[in-house]
Amino acid sequence: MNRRSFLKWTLAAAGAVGLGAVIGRYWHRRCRVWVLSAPDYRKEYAKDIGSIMLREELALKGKNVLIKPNFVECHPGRPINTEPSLIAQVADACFRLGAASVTVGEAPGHRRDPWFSIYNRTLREALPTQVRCIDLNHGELVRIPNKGWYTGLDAFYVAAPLARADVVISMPKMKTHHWMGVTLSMKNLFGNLPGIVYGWPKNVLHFRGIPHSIVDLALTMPPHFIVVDGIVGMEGDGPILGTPKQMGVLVLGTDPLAVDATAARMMGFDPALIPYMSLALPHLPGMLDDMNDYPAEHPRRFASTFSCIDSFKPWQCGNYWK
Amino acid sequence: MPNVTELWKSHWGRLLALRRPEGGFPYFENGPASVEPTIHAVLAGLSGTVDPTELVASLDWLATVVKSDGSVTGSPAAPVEGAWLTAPYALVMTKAGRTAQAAAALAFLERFASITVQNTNQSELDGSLVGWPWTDGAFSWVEPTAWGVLAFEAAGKRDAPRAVEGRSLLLDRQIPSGGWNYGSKKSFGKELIPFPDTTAYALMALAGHVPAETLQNSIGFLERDAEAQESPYSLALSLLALDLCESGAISHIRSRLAERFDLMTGERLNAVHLGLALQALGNRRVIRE
Repeated sequence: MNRRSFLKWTLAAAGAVGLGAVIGRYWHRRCRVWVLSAPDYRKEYAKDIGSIMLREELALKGKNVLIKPNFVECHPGRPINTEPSLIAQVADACFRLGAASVTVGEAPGHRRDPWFSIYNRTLREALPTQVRCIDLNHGELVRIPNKGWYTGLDAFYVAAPLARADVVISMPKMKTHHWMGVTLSMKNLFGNLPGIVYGWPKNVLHFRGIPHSIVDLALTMPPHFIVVDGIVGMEGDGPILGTPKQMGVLVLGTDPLAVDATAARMMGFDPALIPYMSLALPHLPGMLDDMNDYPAEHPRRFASTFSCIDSFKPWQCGNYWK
Repeated sequence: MPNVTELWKSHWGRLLALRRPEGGFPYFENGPASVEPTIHAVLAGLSGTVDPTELVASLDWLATVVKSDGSVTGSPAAPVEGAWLTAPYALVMTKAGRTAQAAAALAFLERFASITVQNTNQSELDGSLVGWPWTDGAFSWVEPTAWGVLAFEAAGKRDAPRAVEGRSLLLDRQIPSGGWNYGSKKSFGKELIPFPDTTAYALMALAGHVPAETLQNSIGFLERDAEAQESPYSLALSLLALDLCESGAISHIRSRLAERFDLMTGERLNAVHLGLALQALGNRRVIRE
C-alpha cells in the first residue's frame, strides 16, 4: 500500500469510527460475552462450555463441526497455540450436544509443514480418536464471494472442509501481535485461508491491508461460536516470540467483535485504537462496552495489562473498567 | 532399515492410486487434481525406475492447466493466485523433456518478480534484492525464490541474472547461526527460528554456488534437526538437501525417513509429502543433479 492509499484508508477508518460509534449505539443489537474463570488446563470446562452453547442456541445435533484453533507451530514453553486439552474439551462439548462429527483444521500462515502444527503429536494425542485433524493449507478449494469491500478482492478461496462445515468454532489464543497489537478471533480468520493460494505468509492480505483483510473475512465467513483461550496468554513480542501471561480466563460468544473488544480490554488495550476493530465498528455489533452484556463473570475481574512492543504502547489504556 | 527399493515400489503404488482419471494428482485422496501434487508425483517417478510412459498422462494434464502467459497456479479452481508454482512446473517440464512448455514457463519467471522494500532495522534484510514471491505483487520469500533459482539451474541457465540475484537474496536471508526462517532472519533484533523445510530448499538452490563454509552452519542445523525430526515432509526435504551437500548424515536420515512412511496415512496422506519422500529415497537426483 502506498502513502496515498494509506492516507485514504486512514481517513476512511477515522470517519468510520466516528460514524460507527453512532451506528453502534443506536442501530446495533446488544451482544452477550461470556467470561469464565478458568484457572488452569486441568479443570473440566466442557460442561460449562456446552451450557453456554445451548444458551446461545448453537444447534449442533447431527451437524459437522469444524474447530479452528490457533495452532501454528510447537515450541515447548511458549504459549503460541490454543491448548490441545482445551480443544479436546470443546470437541467433547460438541459431541455431548449431538454433533455428528468434529474436525480440527488450521492453515498456519508461516509454517508450511503441517507436522509442526495440525498433525503435531501434542495435538493429536490430546484429542478423542474420532476427531480428525486436517491441513487447511492444501487441498480442494471453494470460492466464496467477498461480502466486504475493504480489500478489493472479489472472493476468498478456502479449503473445502471449512466451507462445507455446518458449524465453525473459532478458538484463538489470547496474544499480543507484533503487527496488529492483539490477535483474537478476527485475526484468527487468516488461518482459514490456504497458503497454497495466498502463500506463506499470506502476503496478498498484507498488501491489501491487514485490518481491511480481517474485516472482509469477518463479514464473509464469521465463525458461529468463539472460545478464546485466555488461560495462559502471550504478552510481549507475540504471536510467536512472546512470553506466557497467566490470565485464568475463557471468553466465549457468538459475536466476533464483541468477544475481541472485550478480550482486548482485558489485555489492557483500547479496542477503538486497534485498527481492525475500529474498522469493523460500523459493520459488526459488540464494540461498545456498555452495549455488551456479561452474563457470567464481569471482565473487569480479569483486567490486566499485557506487555507489548513499544509501537503498540499508545494503544494501551490500563484498566478500562477502573 | 527396510529394503529401500521394495519400500519405494510399494509407496509409488500408493501414490499412483491417488491419481485422478484425468491424469493429475490431488493433495488428498479423492480430491481434485492439483498442480503441486502432480509436479511432485512426476518428479518422484523420474527419481525412480518408472517407465516414462506411466508419467505421460500427468504431464499432459499439467499442460492443460497452463495459462496463456506460460504460468500455472495451484489449482484450476483458483486461477488468480499462487503463480510461484510456475517454477517447479518449469523444472518438471524441463526434466521431462517438454521444452516448449518449460521455455514458456521460464519466460514467465523472468517477468514474475517480487517487489522491493526499503531496508529497515526491524528485519535487517536487504529489501532491494529481487527474488520470487508466492503471488503477484508481493514480497520475496525463501521457498519460491529457491524454486525460481532451481528452475533456471535445471534449464542450464544457472548464470541468468535472475538466478544470480535469487541466490544473493537467499544468502542475505540466511540466519547467522544457521538455517532459514521463511523470509526474514531477524525480527526486532532477535534471530528468528530456522525451519528445516525452507533451509533445505535454500541449500538445494545454493549448494555448489557459494563457498562451502558459507553454508556450514545451515548444514549443521539441518543435520541436528533431522536427529529428532518426526515430520516426513521435513525429513524428505532435509535428505534431498543434505545429499546435495554431501553430508555424512544422510544414511541415518534415510533410515529415519523410511520409518516415517507409516505416518502418512488417512487424512495425513498428502501426495506432495509422499512424492517428496519418494524423490528423497529414489535412485536418481531430480530437483537438482
